[in-house]
Amino acid sequence: MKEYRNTLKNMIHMKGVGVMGSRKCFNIQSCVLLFSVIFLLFASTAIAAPKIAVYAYHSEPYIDLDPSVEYSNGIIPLQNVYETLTRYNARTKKIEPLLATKWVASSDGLKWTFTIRSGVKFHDGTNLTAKIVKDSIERTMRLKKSASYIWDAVKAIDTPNNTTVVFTLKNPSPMDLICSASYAAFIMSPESMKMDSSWFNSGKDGGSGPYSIAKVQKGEQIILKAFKDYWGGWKPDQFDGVIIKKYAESSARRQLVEKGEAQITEGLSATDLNALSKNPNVVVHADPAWKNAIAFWNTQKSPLDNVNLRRALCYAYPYDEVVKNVLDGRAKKASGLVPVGLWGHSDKLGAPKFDIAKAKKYLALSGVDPKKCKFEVTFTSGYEEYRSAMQIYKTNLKKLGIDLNIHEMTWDSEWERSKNKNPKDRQDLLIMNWWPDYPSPLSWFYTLMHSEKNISFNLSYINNPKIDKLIEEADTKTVVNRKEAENIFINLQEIAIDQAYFINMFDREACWVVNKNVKGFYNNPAYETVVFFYDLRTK
Amino acid sequence: MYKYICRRLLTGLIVILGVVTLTFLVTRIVPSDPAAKWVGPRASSDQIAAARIELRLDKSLPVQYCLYIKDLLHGNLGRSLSTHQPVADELRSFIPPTLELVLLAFIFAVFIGVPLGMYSAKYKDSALDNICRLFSIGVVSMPTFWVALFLQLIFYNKLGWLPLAGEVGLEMSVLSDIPHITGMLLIDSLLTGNLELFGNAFMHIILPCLTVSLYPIGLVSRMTRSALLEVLGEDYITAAHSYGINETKVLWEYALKNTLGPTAIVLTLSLGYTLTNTFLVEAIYSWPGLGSYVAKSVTVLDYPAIVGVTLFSSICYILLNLIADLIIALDPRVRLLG
Repeated sequence: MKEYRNTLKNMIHMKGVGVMGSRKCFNIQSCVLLFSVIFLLFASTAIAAPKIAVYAYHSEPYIDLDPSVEYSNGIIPLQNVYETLTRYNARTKKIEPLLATKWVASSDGLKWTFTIRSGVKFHDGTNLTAKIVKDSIERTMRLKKSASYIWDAVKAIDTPNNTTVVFTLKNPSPMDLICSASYAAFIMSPESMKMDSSWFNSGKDGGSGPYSIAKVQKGEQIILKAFKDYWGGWKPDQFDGVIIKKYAESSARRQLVEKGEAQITEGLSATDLNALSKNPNVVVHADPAWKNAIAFWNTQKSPLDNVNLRRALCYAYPYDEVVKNVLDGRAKKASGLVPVGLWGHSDKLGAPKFDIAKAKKYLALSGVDPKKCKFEVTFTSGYEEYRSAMQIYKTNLKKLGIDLNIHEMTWDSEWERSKNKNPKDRQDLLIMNWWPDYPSPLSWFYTLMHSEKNISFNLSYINNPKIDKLIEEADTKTVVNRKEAENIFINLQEIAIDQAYFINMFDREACWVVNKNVKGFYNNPAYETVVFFYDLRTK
Repeated sequence: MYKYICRRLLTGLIVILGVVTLTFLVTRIVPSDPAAKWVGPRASSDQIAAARIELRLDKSLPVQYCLYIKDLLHGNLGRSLSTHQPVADELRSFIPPTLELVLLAFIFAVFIGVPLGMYSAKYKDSALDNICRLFSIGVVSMPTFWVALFLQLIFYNKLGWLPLAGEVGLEMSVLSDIPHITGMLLIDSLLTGNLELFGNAFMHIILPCLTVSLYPIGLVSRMTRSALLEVLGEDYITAAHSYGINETKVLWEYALKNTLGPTAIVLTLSLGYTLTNTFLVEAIYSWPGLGSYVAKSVTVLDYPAIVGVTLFSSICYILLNLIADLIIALDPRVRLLG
């Protein structure tokens, strides 16, 4: 009885932010408590304790809770508290309605009309209208933070009526995909739009999503509670609350899921994953992530401007060995720039395999003296897999008589170095991860291969008008003819492989561990590390 | 004594200025782009250019330094490049949990280490002495992270007696209002009369406290034993025995006082070291303290945070050194000079 009383007290307090002990509440509380005790004496059905999901995360759950500013881990709570116009469904590989119920593009792709869902309430009770959608997106564009660049093609946003939003574009762009972006596409309440980051970071929100923010502890955890007036409705077996908490150690996260104290975790070490895969109380999900590791050759620095030398170096890379032995099979060998699972990926690109004989052949064709080849590779510190991969690569290169120096540094030091005006001052090989901000392969080509006035992420320094033209054509075709766009992306990958601009090291996998009592989980690579708790069911 | 303290504090201020200047310069020399860090890993060049102006990086280094010192005098330590929050606010939230953990660990260390060292000295070369010495050497030699993982395995995983990690239980953090008066949860829960929260927080602090206290326990035990053995050989102790004074009184009242000075100095200085070096313990126990903040700031080269933490460390060391010297001065045989 004491347990039920406490549980009921707790359920009442879940509606607000931990208000305890005020006299006014006490009298109401007593009445509710008394009624509940009487009810319990005669009722045959027990009142269930609130269901709370615990997501043990490896890092801080957010940096900034302002949906127009956050460009980091904060999408984990934000994708549950706020909503976008559309959402990508990784199972059906289709864009699905969310705050927009339907959309249509003009034949030239320059005008997109979205119909806004009726009956949507924000957490403060405001009703969603087309004007709020317009204002939200314009706020993000104005602040120029996060991934606001995704709206660069937008010339104007009009709202002819309460439920229609019309985007007029400067150039054809896939607005259905852009509106489903993991960052910078959130729709927020009018009151919250007037606030700055400090308001959001104090634990308040302006979302319309199934959960609202109950409590925050900066750098450590965030607690969400179910928004009972959510337009999607609720079922009894959904979670009432969510805790996303930082547990830096893999062994700690493993022990929590083993004991059932955490329902979901990710980013475990290979040892912990292997141990948990034998545990009958959890399910290990290993699915493709839209994230890959790419090594960029400095093609402006001699002798790396020699394409045959680059081909030789690509054939010396240990593709299979890295996936099998360094990553313990928890990755896929990359076939091209676009990772497996995303449209634009192809397994038939003729990507190089490890082949020392071919490496020697191309080295001879290049005419470069290997004794003069002393290359430097840099990668961001903390990535153990890169260090191990490069050490194996170094051993392979020695067979060609080539030397490789391996340097780890912070990302911004590495990036700073790669932007040196003099190519000779840049590293020879730079490793970084890449992933898209919205479900399109364009990001890999436009950002990594298109020529740039100022060096940004085209870190092989490719400057080829033919490639630029193909990329721009694919961008336009993404709207009017997605199949043709896909063919262009595949062609671009074939060019990249032929010219050996990169080493496509591997496509990453997302490894999740989920308690067996949690149903409905699936990895959505469009929203990295995000769990949509509304979709989960529990016993 | 008063003049001595003032002189030491003035010297301390000069040391702090030197440390802050040096750290400021080092963080500017290290190849890194703070503006890129401020905006995020996939920033556009326009965003970086705007950030450069926002962070005053378009100004010359001497101007940046003067502006920084001016802000420092107003208590403004700048904004963290990774979290965008004021460094002063972050230190205010991260320091108290570490202070609570370390102070409790050192209280443990004194109450366990001193008696251990004393009885080890009293029963020199006995089985008890040998066990104590082995224990002291063992705990000083064992890596902290290994001890932490081992304690979690035994007390959480196998026995289920103590929680794994965190400052407070998950259910407690959801259902209870966590007070924030001093930032030290044990004290705050007592001040608000929330005994349930106090109990929960106490259970959570046991394992990290035990982990942090092991090294100072070993240190204190060894120092106390060595110092006590020396004192027990003094003539006045022999005289006390010959007067028929009780053995326990001789040990606790006559001998122990003269051993505390060196032990207290070593303890004070290791307290300063531990305050900013708990990052392994805090990472393993998910303790929201200064150690993990320092580790993260250094890893990502968040230089306002690094300078802020360096400033805090410098102040701690200066104050603790002063306390150590004052402890020595309590000995009437010592006269403060200079």
